[in-house]
Amino acid sequence: MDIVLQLLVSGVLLGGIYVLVSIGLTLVFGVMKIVNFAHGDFLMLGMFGAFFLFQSLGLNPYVSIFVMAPALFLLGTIVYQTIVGRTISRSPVVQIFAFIGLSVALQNLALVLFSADYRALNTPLVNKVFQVGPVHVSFALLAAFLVASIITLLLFLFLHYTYTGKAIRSASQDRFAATLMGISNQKIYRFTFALGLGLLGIAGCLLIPIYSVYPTVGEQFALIAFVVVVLGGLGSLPGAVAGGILIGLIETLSSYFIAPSMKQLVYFCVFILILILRPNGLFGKPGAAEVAAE
Amino acid sequence: MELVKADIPDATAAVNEVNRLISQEKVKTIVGVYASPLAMAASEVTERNKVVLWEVAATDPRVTGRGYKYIFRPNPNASSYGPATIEFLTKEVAPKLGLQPSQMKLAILREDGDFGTGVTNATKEAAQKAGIPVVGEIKYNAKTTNDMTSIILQLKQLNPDVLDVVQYDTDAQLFWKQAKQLGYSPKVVIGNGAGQSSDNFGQTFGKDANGVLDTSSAMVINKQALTPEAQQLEEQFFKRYKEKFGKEPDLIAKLAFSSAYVLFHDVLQKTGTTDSEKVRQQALALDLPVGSTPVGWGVKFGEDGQNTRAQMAVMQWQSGKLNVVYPEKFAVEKAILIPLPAWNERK
Repeated sequence: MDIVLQLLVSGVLLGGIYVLVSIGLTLVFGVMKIVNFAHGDFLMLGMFGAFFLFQSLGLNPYVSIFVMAPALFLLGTIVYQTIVGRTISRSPVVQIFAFIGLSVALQNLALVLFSADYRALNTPLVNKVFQVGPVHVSFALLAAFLVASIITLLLFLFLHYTYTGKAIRSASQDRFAATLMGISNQKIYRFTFALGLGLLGIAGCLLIPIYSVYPTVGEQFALIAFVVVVLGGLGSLPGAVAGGILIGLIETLSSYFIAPSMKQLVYFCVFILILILRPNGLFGKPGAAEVAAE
Repeated sequence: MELVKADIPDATAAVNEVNRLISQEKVKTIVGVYASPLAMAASEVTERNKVVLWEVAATDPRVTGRGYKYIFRPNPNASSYGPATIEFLTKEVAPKLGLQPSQMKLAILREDGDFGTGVTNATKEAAQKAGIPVVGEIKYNAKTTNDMTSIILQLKQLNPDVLDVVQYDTDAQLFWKQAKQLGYSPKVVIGNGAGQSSDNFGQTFGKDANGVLDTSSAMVINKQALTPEAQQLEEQFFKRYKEKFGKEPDLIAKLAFSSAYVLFHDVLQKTGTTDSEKVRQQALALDLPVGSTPVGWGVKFGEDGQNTRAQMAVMQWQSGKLNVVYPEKFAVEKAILIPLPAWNERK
């Protein structure tokens, strides 16, 4: 029983990590109908940023959030202005190539600047553990989970109760009608893309106490982020939360009860099964994928 | 003699570049190539063209296991980890734990790629010969595992005395971090190169790394075990590497230097030519005693090109340094912390 409890807690916390790396992706997809294939590489930049802030200035990674989130937001604005914005009205193939090119460029840039070494933080804080009855809870994982919950909530409130948020949602529902109502799509897209990257800045700071960072670390999370987003329903915020936690739970439970090297097989089977039963994902709106393909 | 360089990031590039070196640059002897999959691809081309490939880092046993005539590997291969580990467990660890080898439960935790599989097969075979029971083998994918809770809970259930791990860098660190968080501590943890050999492991864990053992080629061995020439060579290497690159060499750099030096100094200088047949004859004729290279090995190639005098050492993290503790003649320190104290008692 203790074991199952520990597995459930660890699974939900791991799910929190997956939610954290997925919400930016689902937001950008939901609004702009583009798939950011360089998502994981921006996460890598966030992690490196937090790592170097700690190493050079001794900045606690949880404080670095206030540096890295604006930094990646700014980077998002620049990348949108120079690359993404130019592909938005072109065919999806152009967007795919642009993002994959960006991904390769970022990885190689990191390789040149930071070398292929693995780097990890070692501070007393990152190793802190709470023991609740028989269950061990890592402080770093719990912090990531809590922040993921808070930003999801804030993002939800922002999208539903602010003018900008409403504009973003209307642009995501019908970009032409929104334009007629005086909303500038370019501005909305630029802001959304930057926001998506800003969220990765937060994720990077929360992940660095848990995982090592290296130039291709994005690959470790990008595939899972895509699974989470598609499973939850493309563009759906509650979907990303449900999808992330579901995958986290499946992973820990199947690795214990079946075998660690089988866990990917298990969650891809569940993934396929859910898509057969609900082709648009758990919370997806019908036709989201078709809109993207247009 | 002229040095021509080529950079091979993947197996396709390995084939293309090696072809170019041979056909366009007319190279007769190639030194390289680091990763096993690349060495496998490159050696197909060199063998076909009767060009010598002097492999200085790849450890896959298949590199020298295919009966090729023109490949030589001064380094030990992956199947040497297991026997070296088991020898150390039998001779040093069992008495310290107060157990007979047949009472000492061994579990293996490994990544599920070529590296983990190759090392584990040899370890299991050696354990069987030594009568050490293997109570479990857990494998996982190093690239897609973001949480090790389930693995650690399974290990707690198996409760082995000795945990043998075959891990790369990030998974090794995730495992050790979470083992601490979940309060899991077997009596002995022994790695097989890679994850536990890297400087990074010591940097990340500080005192928490202390006591972790690692079977691998040795970084710094007891000077007394080396011949005077090898000692001098080692000193020169460390000094000149630091001058040139501004940092200490790591294990791979030292292995590669040591192995390439044998080629340049003991083979090419003697033959005075890079002609494949002469290089091959001279390499096969080499007979250097143990202790005559900076890493402590001797050199005596078998017909398959594998150095039969390459020897693994067992090292241990002690006060932030990876010290050789076995075999005795190579050792710079004695093995400590066997059994490992519980996490909260570590200093």
